[in-house]
Amino acid sequence: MKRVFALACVLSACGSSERAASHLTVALPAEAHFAPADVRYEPAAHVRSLRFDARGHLSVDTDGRAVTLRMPGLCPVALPAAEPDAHVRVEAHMLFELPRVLGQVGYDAPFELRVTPGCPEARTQTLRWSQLEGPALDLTVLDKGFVMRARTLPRTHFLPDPLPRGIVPISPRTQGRYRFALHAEGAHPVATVTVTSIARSTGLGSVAVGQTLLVGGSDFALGKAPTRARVELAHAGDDLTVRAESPGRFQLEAPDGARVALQATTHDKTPLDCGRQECHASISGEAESTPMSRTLEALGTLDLHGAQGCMLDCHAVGEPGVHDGGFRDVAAMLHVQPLETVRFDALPPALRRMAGVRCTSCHGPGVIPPPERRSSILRVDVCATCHDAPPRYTHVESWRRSAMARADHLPAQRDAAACARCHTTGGFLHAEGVRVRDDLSRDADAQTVGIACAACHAPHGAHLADSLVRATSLPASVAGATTDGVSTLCARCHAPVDDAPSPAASGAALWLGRITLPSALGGETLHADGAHAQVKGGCVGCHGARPGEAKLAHDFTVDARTCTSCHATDAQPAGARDTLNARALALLQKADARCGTRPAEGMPAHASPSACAGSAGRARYLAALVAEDGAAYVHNRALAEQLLNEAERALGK
Amino acid sequence: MSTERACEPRSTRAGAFVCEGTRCTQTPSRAPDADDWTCVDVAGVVFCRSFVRAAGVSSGPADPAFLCGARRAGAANERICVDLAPDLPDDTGAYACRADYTSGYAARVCSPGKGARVGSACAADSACPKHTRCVEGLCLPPRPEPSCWLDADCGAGGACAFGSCTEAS
Repeated sequence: MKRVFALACVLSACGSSERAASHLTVALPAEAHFAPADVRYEPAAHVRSLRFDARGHLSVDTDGRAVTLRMPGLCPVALPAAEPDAHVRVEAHMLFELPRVLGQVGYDAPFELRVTPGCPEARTQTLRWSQLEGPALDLTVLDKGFVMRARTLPRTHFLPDPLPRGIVPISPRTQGRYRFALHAEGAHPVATVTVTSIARSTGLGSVAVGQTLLVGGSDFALGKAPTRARVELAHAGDDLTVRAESPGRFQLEAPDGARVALQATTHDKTPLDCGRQECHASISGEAESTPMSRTLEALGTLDLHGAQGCMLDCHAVGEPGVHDGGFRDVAAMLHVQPLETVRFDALPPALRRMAGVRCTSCHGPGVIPPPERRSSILRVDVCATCHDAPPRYTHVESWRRSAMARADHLPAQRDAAACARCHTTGGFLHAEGVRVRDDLSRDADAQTVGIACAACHAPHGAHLADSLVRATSLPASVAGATTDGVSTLCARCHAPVDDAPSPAASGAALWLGRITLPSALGGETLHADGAHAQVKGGCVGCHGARPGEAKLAHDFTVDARTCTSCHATDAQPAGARDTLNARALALLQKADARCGTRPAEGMPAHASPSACAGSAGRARYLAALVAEDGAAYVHNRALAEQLLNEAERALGK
Repeated sequence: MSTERACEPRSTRAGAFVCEGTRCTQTPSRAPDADDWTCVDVAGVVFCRSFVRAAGVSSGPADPAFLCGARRAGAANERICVDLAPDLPDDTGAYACRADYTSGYAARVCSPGKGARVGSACAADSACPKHTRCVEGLCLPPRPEPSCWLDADCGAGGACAFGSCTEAS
């Protein structure tokens, strides 16, 4: 007994606090996600300190004796006994290893998610799978859940026939995207996996290496390509996909002469010197401060592999599951392993370049397209790669239902500059002085754009607040009115254009309660206050507002429930609105007859502009102001009636 | 007046070296910040030049490994930054390195190499690279004041040594 006690004392002296610690580093896999407080170790007395080091690994100081660590989601780690001041490195492994993203598996294609056990302990568990996002799929689970198989839905489930010719734009809504959770013991899933049928695409020809594109028109074949280029064309039924496996310029050609030009490279190899003095210095400077550029930085502290991992799809550069030199690729190259959280400021510079929505996020990596194809950047498809992701992001989906999406469906609306300024995005931007080019009707890629996102939102220009609403000024026809910035933007098109002989629109002018007539027709300002000018939010206080929702519905329709917030019952006496409209049309017809104007059949009055002068011209203008606004009764009944009274007086002369 | 000195591991801001045989490549190489830089390695010192802000990128805090200054007679906002102890594959120090942009990515390529470099052991100035002196057994440059890219930046009689102007020898 005495001898054992002496031995125990000797051992105690060996483990005394004076002994220099042994330093062990546990290299953690990138998917590991836990806090130091979650670590369990035994025997506890052997551990002196435990912390994460600067590279995200676990740094453990022990008294030299062996310790077993247990960390959430990881296999147990046996730390060996070590000499004082020794530095030992041990690798940790995930309990369950599986890819977190399975990209571009194809439409109507089988896929398999296979879980690799990281250690024998993993095999003692039975795994379960659940689907978190996307259209429901039939899951086949095998081998105690270590294998899950399913088949993606056909392309036609997301994109009906016929496909547009050329590169088909793909958004999160149409890319056939699914997300699954893997469950083991415990309440929380051990991992989530995103599966996509195809990569998102803006529809532009500037693409990333490795990005699979859907091509409308199965008769396309590879034409021009660099020597030793690697391009993969594949037919799946009637669908054609193309993927550049190497950088370069490629061209797809069809027997009918159609051409699709592609430029492929990777995001990380695209220089960001767009802001050179002779190029886009001002745009580059403006872009730096926008919410889009700072959308990842604004988070401050990032949890890149936790719940916020999916945020990288739109808050950083690159496509999940594609080695396109984006944020994820650069992070892997730099062995960035954020475990708990990482401050944005602490990101390496090469990763900061991939954070946020960058030039290449919208314009694509690679080269600038030729001038005749640059207007394609104005298409809603570019914004749709992030903003067409219901149920959370419904902007594009609702916009497609709006009248603005169809604003340029007639050739005359696109071709005439006076029409294009409010019927096309390019024409509007040209009228605003944002874009120099106005020959969009001859742009091969212009297609039908409508009044798209880029008309009202300035991704790198003067804007209001975080919604990037374009900053502008009221037109002269309503100068002097007081309103908010958003309504000012609406008035650029929904109020008469400065000194135009016919009013193309008037809704905003009526709502604002004042209209200045063209100088040729007298030039005076008519005004009358309307009750709805006080509606909170201005134009979008009614148009697009939805009770109980912060987001604006981009179909800009009026939800009747918005009215009942002020009006207890139907505020429009039956027929009153129709009576006003009918009176306006009748006066307009009389004025047209006096002026000799022949209105186009089935078209609005401004489609047949008239430079009629004198009292007849004045009457026509005043009547058209009301006739052009189908909601004149709601916008400002008092001013509408005043205008019509003036029109009658003018016709009486 | 107290001065704070904050340190961080060099490993956090640049890629690790990957060696194939005796040739080791660091991708991406260390840069002063997130802007576009052109860097060169001369006698074991890396100095870099930038005059264009990376479009839409918030540069972020500068890498403390670099000393920086405005370029004399350069374009507006043109900067020169110097790293007197650049990254090497290991601690032996016997490497010759260069910046490599051929892959479209800023990389640092190092191969075994002899020859005097800044920081090398020395017995006399003659054993040291040009524009350095043997100080207490080490080849050291003048006190760095990054401001030049070319000799012409330093005016008549001047020379650009590791990004800093000095008298032409």
